[in-house]
Amino acid sequence: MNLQILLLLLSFSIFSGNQSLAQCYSITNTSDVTNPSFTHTFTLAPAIGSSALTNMHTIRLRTSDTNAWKLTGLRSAISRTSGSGPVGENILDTDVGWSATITPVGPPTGTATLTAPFNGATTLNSISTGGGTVIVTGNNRSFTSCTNAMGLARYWTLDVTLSTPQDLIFNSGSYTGMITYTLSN
Amino acid sequence: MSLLYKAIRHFAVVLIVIVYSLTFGVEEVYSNSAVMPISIQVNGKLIITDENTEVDSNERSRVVENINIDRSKSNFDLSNSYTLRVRSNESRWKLIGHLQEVSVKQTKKINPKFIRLTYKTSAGSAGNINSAMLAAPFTEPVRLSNIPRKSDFVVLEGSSKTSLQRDKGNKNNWYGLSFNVDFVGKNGLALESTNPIYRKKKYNAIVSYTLVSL
Repeated sequence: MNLQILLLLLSFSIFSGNQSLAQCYSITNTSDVTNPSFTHTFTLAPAIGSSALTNMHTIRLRTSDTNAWKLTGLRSAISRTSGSGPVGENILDTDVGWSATITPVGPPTGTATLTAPFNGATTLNSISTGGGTVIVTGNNRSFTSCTNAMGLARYWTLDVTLSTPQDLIFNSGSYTGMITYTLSN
Repeated sequence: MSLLYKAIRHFAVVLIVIVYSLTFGVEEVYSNSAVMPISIQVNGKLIITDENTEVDSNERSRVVENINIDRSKSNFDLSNSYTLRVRSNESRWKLIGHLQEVSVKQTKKINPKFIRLTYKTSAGSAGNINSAMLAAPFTEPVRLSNIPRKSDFVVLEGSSKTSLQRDKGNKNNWYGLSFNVDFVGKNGLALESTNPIYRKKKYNAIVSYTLVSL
């Protein structure tokens, strides 16, 4: 009988876990595909009076966490992968604009808010390259589930727009960078 | 038999707990990240405009200047100047000119050796005056008769991009080239446009400029 109790406790511990692990934190694209990847692509064609190029992607945030939660961003710095020229004339993270809007859909139970400076126009260097930078905070869940029909219908939409000026000072070549967004408690 | 029964019973209970846990207690989905790679391509660009029309984003690879001197007109004005602007994010470029004379009756034609062309360079507030240099012989005023008619000639040799600082709309990051035409005598001294040597005579030519990267 002792063996039975031990197995029961072990099973419950493994499969039920503690309560915090039971929360879901879900980021999807607009088709509700999880862990999405979007490429912000820019091809500059400088001209006189040329306006900045913009590129927008949308993600959906869902969580069952009834406590405070956050969306953090982690940046890999923009780096030139081809071409030549002075470093100061490369496209830098300070040259790439970042702006976003967050919209409740469903509606979700809680409230989500963009934190400063992400509640206005800023640049990529506002996102840290080491350790996450809090971009959005929330105070309650979207729904009890992230995946069932009711849960899928309740979320926050985050529209992220990047922009870059078409400045002739930029060295010709290719540049790459990366932003990783993570939803957690 | 008893041991086997007990083992089966233990296994059944554990199985029930597992199924229950999977159904009601386990995390639904962990899908809490999104990645957004950034890809930027900057291509080489050359822009040449004339100073007066670039407000309309009149972007071309070639501009044309007409030299029209007509001494038969009483209100002749020798303020025959022109300014073009070059913008480039290429590190090596050239501005090439081509002179084409427009036919005038020989008796009425001003001899091009009495017409002098002078180039001057400038730069916008965000432009780099050191991004190019006048090519010989245009570092000094040149008589039109010394400019080739049948072949192109290099006016500017660019050694770096024309920008010196960030200029989001590319309004002020230009390198300027202006030229002025005046009259010159055999002794190399400037002549007044009223000098009888030019009376009732004409000189017409088209100078086209093309910007190329190297």
